Amino acid sequence: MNNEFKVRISQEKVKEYAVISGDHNPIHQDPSFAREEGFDGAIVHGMFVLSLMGEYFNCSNFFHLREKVVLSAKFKKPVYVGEEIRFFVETKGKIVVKNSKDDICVETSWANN
Amino acid sequence: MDFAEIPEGTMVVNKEILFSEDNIIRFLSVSGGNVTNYISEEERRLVPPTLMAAKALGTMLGVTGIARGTLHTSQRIEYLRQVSSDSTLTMQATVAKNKKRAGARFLTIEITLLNLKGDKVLFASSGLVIRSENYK
Repeated sequence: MNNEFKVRISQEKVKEYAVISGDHNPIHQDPSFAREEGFDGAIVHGMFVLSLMGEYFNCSNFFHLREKVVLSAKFKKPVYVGEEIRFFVETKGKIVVKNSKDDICVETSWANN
Repeated sequence: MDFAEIPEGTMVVNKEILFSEDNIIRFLSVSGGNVTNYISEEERRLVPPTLMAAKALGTMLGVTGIARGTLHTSQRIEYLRQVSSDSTLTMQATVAKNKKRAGARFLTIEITLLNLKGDKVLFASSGLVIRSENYK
């Protein structure tokens, strides 16, 4: 596992995530609606971004050890469907997500205690 | 559900959720997870913690019929216990904070998942902003 990975989240994946999670907010699947709401296009579910991060960085490893895991996230800017984003470990227990403009979109921290 | 009329402290959802093995496999496929981390030949059958949170939040949004265009601004998740696949959990969602400011409604929804024994397996606190209450 690297300390950084890049991903581009397709509309197809967002649609599949919506079915699995039950979150069918059109802001995630209808670019026209999202633009009416002031965005540049459809935006990815925040929990989907956290799910990708959790699986890639194995944040749930501690969970397998039957320890309590606490994950906190702030969604600061939208992650757009189809744009490349970058996850990287900023410091131990802190992972950030940046877009191609180098803006921080999501700040997370996680710990086991 | 009209959140303008829901006082803080009100439980808005009390519902059972099933986490099937099919759910787990589909979720790991879309989120890039490794199935063998959760489902193995040694009879390990675990629900990914992020799936528990994702489905709990999605279910809450669906049941409450929260306004289209609502934004998710923050998330805290505490994973407390492992859950086996094909488990049914009880999901309870409560409006912890409900404030109107500058034309938008700011909500904090707290979600608890309980197993059949009544043990808390997950606690989540979601910050949401309803930017327009004029449409559903």
